[in-house]
Amino acid sequence: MSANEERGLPWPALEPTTAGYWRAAREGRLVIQRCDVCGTHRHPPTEACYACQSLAWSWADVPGTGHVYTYTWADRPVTPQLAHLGVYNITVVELDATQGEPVRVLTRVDDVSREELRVGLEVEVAFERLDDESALPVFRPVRTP
Amino acid sequence: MNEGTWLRGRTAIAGIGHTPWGKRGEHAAKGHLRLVVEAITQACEDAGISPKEVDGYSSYVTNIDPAELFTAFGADRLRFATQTWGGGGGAMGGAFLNAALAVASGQANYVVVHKVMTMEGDNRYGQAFGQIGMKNPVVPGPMAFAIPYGLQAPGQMFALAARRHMHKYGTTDDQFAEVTINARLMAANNPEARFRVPCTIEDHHASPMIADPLRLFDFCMESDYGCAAIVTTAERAADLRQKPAYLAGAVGAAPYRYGHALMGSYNMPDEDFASSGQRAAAEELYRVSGRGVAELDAVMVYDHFTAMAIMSLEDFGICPKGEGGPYVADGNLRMGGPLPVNTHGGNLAEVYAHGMTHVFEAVRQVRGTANNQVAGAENVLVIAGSSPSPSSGLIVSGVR
Repeated sequence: MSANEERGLPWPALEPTTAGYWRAAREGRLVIQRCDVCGTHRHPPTEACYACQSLAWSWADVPGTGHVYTYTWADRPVTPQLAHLGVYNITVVELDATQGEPVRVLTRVDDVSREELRVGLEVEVAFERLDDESALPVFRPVRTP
Repeated sequence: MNEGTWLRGRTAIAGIGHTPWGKRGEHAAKGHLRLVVEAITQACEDAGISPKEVDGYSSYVTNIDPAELFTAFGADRLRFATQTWGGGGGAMGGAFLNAALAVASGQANYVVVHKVMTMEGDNRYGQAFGQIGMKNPVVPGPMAFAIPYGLQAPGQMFALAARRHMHKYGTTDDQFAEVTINARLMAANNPEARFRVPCTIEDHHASPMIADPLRLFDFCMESDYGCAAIVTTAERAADLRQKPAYLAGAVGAAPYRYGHALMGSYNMPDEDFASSGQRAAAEELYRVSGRGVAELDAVMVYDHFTAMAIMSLEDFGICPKGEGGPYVADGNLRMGGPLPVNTHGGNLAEVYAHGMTHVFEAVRQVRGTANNQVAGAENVLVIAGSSPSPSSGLIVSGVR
């Protein structure tokens, strides 16, 4: 059973071109699709490289750090079934250390206050288990001790 | 001759029709087919033709089957049936483009562009992605990268663009409010509009925050409706009941890597993220129509969210990129301004009908029959909704 099922949220289908993303997350790795020919990273997964049109690609590990690009707060539950989630954020993070045009992922930033979440905030990846096969990459602020 | 200009002025909208506007769920018991058939009947009456003469159907993101429609009306034959892609009301202009191509090339004589929606129960647009999750909890495709994180509604999706626009250009919620204030002022003169009570900046700011930075008064309403428009050749239109509303141009287009936009892409160029994603549609529309901003007399812009209407005005060059906030706050949208916007009240104040009502109002403006009539309106730009690719637009003109 997916952990998201208990939350009342859907979960990702593991499809031929996307399954590796969610499976790697279950292993604690953030991977991004990368062109075998020109090295360009791309997301969400596509069937061809936007830069060189090659069809050959592999999953490539990335450091999992980045910064907040934009965000919203879900102040009102969209359906009554989601009220138990409380107010949560939905955030787009732009990742570090990718090749080509910037790579952004839609995600959530945990352990962050309303005042702290701002465009530019530095964040790092964490993983939220869904089931034995997959997990969601989420993020949290980089805390320098 | 410039490439792509062949269709210019060859076709016209000859009739428009719709059911009474309903609050969400109000007309659900009638069923979609009945609603769209009522709208088509009204549009044919407006044009002065029999629905039996309609031999083509064009729509967008619909489950209405043309097989039902032409059979119901007893047409001698069906000669054209199509629909186009894009989300919500984004594809509206593409449906008019398909209709225009069909009649201009002689594939059909009268093509109906139709759209119907009822927003009862699990058809509520305001809960759109939440409903997807409840109907099928395993999400395929690009939206798998969004919905499982709790991105459950269009308001949350467009809030991401609104926040980025505020960050990049300094746009404010006072400026968002002006879009609603203008819509309510226009609706006050429209007896069919739902929200006809004036709204102030204070009213806007006092409305509850739903998807920060978007408040309740930044959201359009949910509605039930059936809508239809008759597209035919300019020559046939000239012999019908109404003054023809010529299609100077209609396009469906999207810019580089725009993909599924805020429903699952997030990797378009930065300039297009903080936008309505309509740069390409705007450039194509001005090219094929031979019209520019200087030739326009009014603009009907899809206003599912105040912030997106501002970004659409920027993408279509009504004001420079990033200056949409100050542009609307200066009162430029209102009657008497340089380019009145949403003279019917739009999605925010009249009804939410996925772009069809914006076309209807453009038709009324060039006919000279609008409630808020712009004197001598000749060219009216209609901007469809910011949406997954492709979005669209059209220019309705009183002259060929």
